[in-house]
Amino acid sequence: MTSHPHSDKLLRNKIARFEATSPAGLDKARAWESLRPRLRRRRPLLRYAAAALLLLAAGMAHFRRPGAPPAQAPAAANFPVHARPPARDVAGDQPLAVTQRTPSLARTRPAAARSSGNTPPKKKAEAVVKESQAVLAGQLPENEPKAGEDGGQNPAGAPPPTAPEATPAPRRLPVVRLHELPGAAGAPATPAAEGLRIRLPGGEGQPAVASSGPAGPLIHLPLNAKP
Amino acid sequence: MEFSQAIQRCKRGDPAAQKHLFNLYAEPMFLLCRRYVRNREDAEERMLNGFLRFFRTIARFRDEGQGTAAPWLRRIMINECLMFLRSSRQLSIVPADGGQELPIDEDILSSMQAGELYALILDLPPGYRTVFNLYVLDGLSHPEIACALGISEGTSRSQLRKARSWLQRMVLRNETVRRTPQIPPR
Repeated sequence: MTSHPHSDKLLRNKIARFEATSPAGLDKARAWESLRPRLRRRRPLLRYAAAALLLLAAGMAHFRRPGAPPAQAPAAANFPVHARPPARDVAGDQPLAVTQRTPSLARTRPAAARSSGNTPPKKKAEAVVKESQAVLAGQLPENEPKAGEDGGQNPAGAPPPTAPEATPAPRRLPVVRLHELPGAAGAPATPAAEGLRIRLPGGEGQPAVASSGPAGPLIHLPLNAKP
Repeated sequence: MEFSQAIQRCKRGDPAAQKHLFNLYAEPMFLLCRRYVRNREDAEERMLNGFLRFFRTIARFRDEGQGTAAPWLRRIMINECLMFLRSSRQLSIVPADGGQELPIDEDILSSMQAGELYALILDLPPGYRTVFNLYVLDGLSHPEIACALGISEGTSRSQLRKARSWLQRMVLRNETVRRTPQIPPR
């Protein structure tokens, strides 16, 4: 394309002179009067931003308890196993109890054989729950042979110890850290196909804190589950 | 009021200084806006919006004399007009090739009044007029025009070519009418 610098320059100069000197027929006083109130007005966006900041600050001040730490550590389940800090129960001074099964046997043996002795599986499960309640209540030592796991010496039909009255406690979920669980230290806890059955006692005199009841739940943690 | 003093006072939000600058530049900026937005009311509104933006952003302006404020204000006005043209969908530029460009005769241009040329530019179709204004009268390059209007550089060039051809035809017709001897009525 050809350019036309001379004609363009001529045209530009003419138009610029015309715009600079010619009356445009504009009522400047009226135009200024319509502009003046808009100059005084603040931008609504700034006002909204200021209001949002105030609301945010008020909300933070409302929900932050006095003396509370500024931020909590992330959940332990998000840590890799080798990097997790030592486990503590709700009270913070007792390691968590754990029962560990041999996973390959549990997977390969039939259901009838999986329950030790002649104890039916349902009865065995009930016995385990009751036993864990007893452990929580402090009536049984923690490493005593479990019902149905000692060749039938302590059958599940035995009368379970009663759990003490649970006093209401703040519902705080315990932090479970796998590498501190008894039986799992120093070695791989279980093959990945099975998992751990973890008994979560509350603190001394405290009920367990999970939602399954006052005696504390048995939690099955499949190790091959992806986070 | 001196210009640099008016700028300093405008930075502090002084209404008297703002009015002084407004009175100084309102008419040139209104004529500039009319080159882009032909409708008179729309052009006035664009001019007011441009002044509003100018006074709100004047704190960022580094005062280096009167010669630096006017181009900045012109650029604000041009941007306001382009935004208006885009939002109101008046700017429909269809890419097209062809069209032989006719050079505008400089002698005819010299002989024409500036007001006549201004009126001819206002008669251009919006797409041609916008590209012609940006390139010839306001000094933008084709890449800048393409970026500002969201078109390709080739489209910008072809629009300019067509605008020149159109304007040349109008200039020649105007010249022909002017040179035609008037027949006195019987």
